[in-house]
Amino acid sequence: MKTDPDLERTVRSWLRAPEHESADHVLGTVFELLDTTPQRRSRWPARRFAQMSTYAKIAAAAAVIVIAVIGFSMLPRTNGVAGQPATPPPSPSQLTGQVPPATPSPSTTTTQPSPSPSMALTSSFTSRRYGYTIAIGPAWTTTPATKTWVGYDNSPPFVDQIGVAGTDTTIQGSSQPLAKGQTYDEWLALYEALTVRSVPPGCDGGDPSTWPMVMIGGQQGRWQQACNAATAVVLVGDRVYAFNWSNAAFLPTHLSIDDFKRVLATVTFQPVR
Amino acid sequence: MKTAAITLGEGMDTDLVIRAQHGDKEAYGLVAAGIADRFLAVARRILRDIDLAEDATQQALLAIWQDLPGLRDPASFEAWSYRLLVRACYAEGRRQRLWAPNLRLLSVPAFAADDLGSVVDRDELDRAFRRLSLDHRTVVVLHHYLDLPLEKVADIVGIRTGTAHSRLHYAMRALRSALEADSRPPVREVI
Repeated sequence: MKTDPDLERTVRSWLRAPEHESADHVLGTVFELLDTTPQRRSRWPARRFAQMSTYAKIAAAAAVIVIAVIGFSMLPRTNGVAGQPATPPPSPSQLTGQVPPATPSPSTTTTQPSPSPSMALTSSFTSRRYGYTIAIGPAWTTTPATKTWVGYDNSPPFVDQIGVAGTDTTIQGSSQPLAKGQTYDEWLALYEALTVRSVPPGCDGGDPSTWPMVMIGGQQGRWQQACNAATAVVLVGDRVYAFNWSNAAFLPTHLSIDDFKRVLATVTFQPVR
Repeated sequence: MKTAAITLGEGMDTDLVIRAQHGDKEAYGLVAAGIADRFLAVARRILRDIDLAEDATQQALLAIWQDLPGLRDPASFEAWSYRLLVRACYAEGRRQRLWAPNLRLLSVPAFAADDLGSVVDRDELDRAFRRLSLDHRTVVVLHHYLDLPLEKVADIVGIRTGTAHSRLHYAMRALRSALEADSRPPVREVI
């Protein structure tokens, strides 16, 4: 590889220029979140596995493959949409008693937006990690979260991602319990303060108490409009659910807000185990 | 020649890591305090934004706590933890792209030499560096800031060593091109 010593020296000097970089307040936040952030217990005795003989490792790997094949063959058949349950998602009435309903406000006058004629919500996506089911279009793609949402950053890999076919919109879903002793208003204030500080000026949606209402699965939530993105947030029981309307550009190729609200109306909530 | 003492494997107490693996929060606190400033410095250089860097550092530190029980070899803690930091930086970088508006930048005034004793100044380097992709910036920072050999860089980023070499080569070439372009007389754009 041809190198450029002068440029390398310059880049190194520049990168290593002294800066005041203290992570003290990041550490403070991390320590606060520790109590509500469980460790993921390793399912495998990793160190023991490392000490196994090669033959034993091969045998163990073969056993895992056999179990996986048998398990896969016993899975109920779906129509091929990732995350879709074999049975229809439970209706809100079926869930009565499982999840306490949010307190309705006297000002609840939200009506269902008119559906777009081209948008057929004939499939569904169920998030066991976050406890909800949402209706989706048949060609939409789904990518479940690979890490559980803690803190206030609800972006990948902490969110389920639903790619809306034919648009640049990704719907992102996630939920988390309120911290011990924390109120919903406190949660919203922290969410607004911490998560949206990287958005352009004027794009943070303002004070959460001014966010308009939106219906999410029959529950009254709040709508944070952030320029070419938005987040719909709702408290169900002691758990906050957040659904992002996330777009890649400012060009008008998004799922319309009305259609996003229509999707939100199909959400059903399940307890998270 | 090694010019900086910023390397992997420096003094992290394996016993502390093992205790933290078993849920000892005090031990984790010591581990986190020992790496947090360095994590922030690396994230800031990759992301070129202090807010995003703090978010990435926070996510990485929490991910370390959550995933520590699954770490097979506590002696490999530092390389593993940098892997989580790089992932967090990528996540923050993606988030920035999703939210940030498409801004066009005006050409900038001509540069002046500064105390680096070089023909380029810091602002110029910063602008050129920001034009690199996240993939390229990551490799440059891990190699030229942390002084990691490209084999380790590749391991942390999750790519082949040859790909790391290639990314570094193209990143430096792109930096050179950007700096040369900036050194030409400025032309003002009208938006």
